[in-house]
Amino acid sequence: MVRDSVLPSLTIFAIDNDTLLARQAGYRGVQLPLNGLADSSRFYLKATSTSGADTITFRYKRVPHFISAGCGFVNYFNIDTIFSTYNEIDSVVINSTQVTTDNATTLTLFF
Amino acid sequence: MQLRLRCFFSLLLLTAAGTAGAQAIKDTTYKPVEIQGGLRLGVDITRFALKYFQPYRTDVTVAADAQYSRNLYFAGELSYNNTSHTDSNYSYKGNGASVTLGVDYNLLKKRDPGEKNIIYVGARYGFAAFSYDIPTYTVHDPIWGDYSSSYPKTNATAHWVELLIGIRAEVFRNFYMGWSLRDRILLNKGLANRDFPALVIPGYGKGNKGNQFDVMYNVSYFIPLYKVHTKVMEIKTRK
Repeated sequence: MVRDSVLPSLTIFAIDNDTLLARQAGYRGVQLPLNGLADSSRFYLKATSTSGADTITFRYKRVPHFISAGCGFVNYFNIDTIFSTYNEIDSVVINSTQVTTDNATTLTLFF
Repeated sequence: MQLRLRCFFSLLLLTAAGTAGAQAIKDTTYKPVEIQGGLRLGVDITRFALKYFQPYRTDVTVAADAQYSRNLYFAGELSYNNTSHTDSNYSYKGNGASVTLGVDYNLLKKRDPGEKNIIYVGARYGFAAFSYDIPTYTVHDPIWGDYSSSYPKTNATAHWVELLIGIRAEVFRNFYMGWSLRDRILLNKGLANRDFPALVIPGYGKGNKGNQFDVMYNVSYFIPLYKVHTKVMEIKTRK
């Protein structure tokens, strides 16, 4: 059965960088920061405390974009490819390949 | 001319009275009159106030119009813009000029043909040539680190259509003031949808908007140069 689930113990690292979340309960969705200094970003993701962890890799083009005179510039990302391991994750659905200032869901993970 | 006009108005009153009497016959004739034509030169003072709200903008707009016929005026504006901005997010340099050409059409119908105070609608075609560059910009990122780059000097042209409504009044002899509300519709929309649009398009407004609303307040001086020939309708009543 497919249902929107709350993850019991979520850990996410930005690989080669920082811990974004460590064993946090109660997450239904997360925002991952893509690396604006490189054309790919990798994230370690562990949704429960029991089973194995997964790695999700994003490959994309960076598109700097002007927002407004007051805000300046942000990076838009055009995602080419997403790789994932499938230890915990059952499947990955790409909803949108454009990462902009819109609050659109890019990726849906099925466990 | 003054005397003739006074006669004209008193005649109108007579006809109004005359319609009450049943057998009045009306003759309509057209009498030629001359209107003082000339060149009205003005400056848009809102451009100076704009600098208070958008300190990075320096704009100068001058406007000119000349009467062609009783209700029609040829009109245009020349604008210059210089944009310079620096903060922790980006720096920007741009400058350029624009020209708009079009017509104003008077909406007040029942008036002395030489009436100087008008309410009008107008249309313009606008063209701007400008260049801009972004010497440095920074995308701030607390996790991966800040990303800095620049955007090279770019030349661009903009085309737009402008629709307006306004009023104008003679405040002192040959000295006019008036405001107009304007909507500008950018014709080359691709300009606004770029990843690096211009901050300001001279004479148009914000460079990342396909539609711009604006207000102008013109202070202008009228230079009498020529005569505009027109006709006024005269109604004579005979028994």
